[in-house]
Amino acid sequence: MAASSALRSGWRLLVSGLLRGGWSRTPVRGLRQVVEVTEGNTTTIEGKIIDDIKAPVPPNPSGQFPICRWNLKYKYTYEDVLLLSQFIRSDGGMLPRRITGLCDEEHKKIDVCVQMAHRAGLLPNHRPPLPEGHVPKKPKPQLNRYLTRFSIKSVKPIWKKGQRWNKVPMPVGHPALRDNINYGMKPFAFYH
Amino acid sequence: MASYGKAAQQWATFARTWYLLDGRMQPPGKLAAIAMVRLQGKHKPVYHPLSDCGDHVVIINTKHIAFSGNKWEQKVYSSHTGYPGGFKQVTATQLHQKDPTAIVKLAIYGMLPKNLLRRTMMQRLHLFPEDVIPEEMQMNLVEELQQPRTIPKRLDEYAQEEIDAFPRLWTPPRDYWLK
Amino acid sequence: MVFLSAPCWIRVRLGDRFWRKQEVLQYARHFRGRKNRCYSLAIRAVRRAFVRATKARQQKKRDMRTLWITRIEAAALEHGMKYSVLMGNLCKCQVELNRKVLTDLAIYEPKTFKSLSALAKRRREEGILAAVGDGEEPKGIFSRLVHYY
Repeated sequence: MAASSALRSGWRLLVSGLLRGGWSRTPVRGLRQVVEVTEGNTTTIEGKIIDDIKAPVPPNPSGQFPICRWNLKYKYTYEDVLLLSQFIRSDGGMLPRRITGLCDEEHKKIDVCVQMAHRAGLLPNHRPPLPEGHVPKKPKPQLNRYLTRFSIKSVKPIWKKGQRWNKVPMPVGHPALRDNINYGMKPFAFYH
Repeated sequence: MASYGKAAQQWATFARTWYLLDGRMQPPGKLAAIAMVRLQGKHKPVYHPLSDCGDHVVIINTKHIAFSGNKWEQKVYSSHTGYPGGFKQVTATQLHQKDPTAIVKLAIYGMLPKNLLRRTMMQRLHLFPEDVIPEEMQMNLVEELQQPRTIPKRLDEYAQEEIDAFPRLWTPPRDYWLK
Repeated sequence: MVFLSAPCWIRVRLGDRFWRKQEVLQYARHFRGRKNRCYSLAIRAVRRAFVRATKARQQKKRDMRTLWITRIEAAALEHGMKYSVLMGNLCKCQVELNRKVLTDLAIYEPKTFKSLSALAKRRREEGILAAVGDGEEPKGIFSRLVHYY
């Protein structure tokens, strides 16, 4: 009974994830999907394994982890939402490393990229919905941002900028991505 | 003896052109770098610092500019009223809420050369918080300048075919239940 | 000893002093204020003016060069190139036009300048091809033939 209730709550999560934001997760291959069928008084809960078409062969099958297998190391950034959306749950958090099989470094980098994509508004809004009938007192300003390293609430204004030769830096981007391939002329600047 | 053809050529050479620049999702510094060149006339081969040959620049959507990093919270604009205790400091967010065109204006004002022509050049700059511009100004516009930053695509802007065409990088274990 | 020529000498000396001052004042006639007529003020102003004029003779050459560079930059941006790319690749094509002539071409003969920029652009593409490609020279490219250094 406990197992069925857990499954039911999970089913609710899945449904809410599907319904929220007008954007639905693509069905994941090789996954167990919970199907609930109600016939009169009987409710059947079934875990179906979805078998879809075979995954295409990556260019470098001998690689240790997914990113290496597709030769994508140092080649992705916060803008590649199609890549990042494969590594997150329906509530926006990262999938665990033992499931995705990423190495420590890549997991960290994808985590950083997912955060920056969320803050830039590239991924859908994963925040839990506000309670019914809640009207915020002051509407939050919609400010466009990108390459945002720290959470918005945590940073404070730099009231004293410092001398010309010793300015207080403003962090931009994340140094975890410093080894990315740079197609521009200028090197990456992580402090403005 | 100035012929009529020469005079017309002179007028045509120093005629003012109107440029349009869309500020949606653009960093104000890069917008300013583009507008500064046009305002000074440094995009014309006949440029001379004393001949006032700059053009008009219309920047729309200044309300929807984007800052990189945490600059909306960290960047501080300072001014002094001249009276004792008149030192004012506001963050970029506060300034933007007060006046949606101020950040772009200050960025351009700071990038122009610090001489007597600076105010004249600023008069040829027209900023609009939204994309609504007066009719007579719209008649003048000649060219839309390319945006400095390419706007990245949001996930909900991708079509379902594009999402499906992107290969799955990893296959979850068969007994894993994805939430 | 009798100085027969003394009065004469004094007069000459006085007149000499007058004309000597006039010589300096001639250079200061167009100055503003008392320094266009008072010697002690004028000599200071004239001296400064000469120092500045000497420096400006060198500075003018630098200013003209920066002006030419600004103008070529503007003309290059019209054809979608950076200044450094244009000049570097024209140099590699052995187009030895200086900046003054390039500026004149950009203003008075825009089509000539356009063809020059097209040449530089093509040379740049070849350079990138040579760096990225298999190292073989493409056929039928004339800018390679003038390579003799």
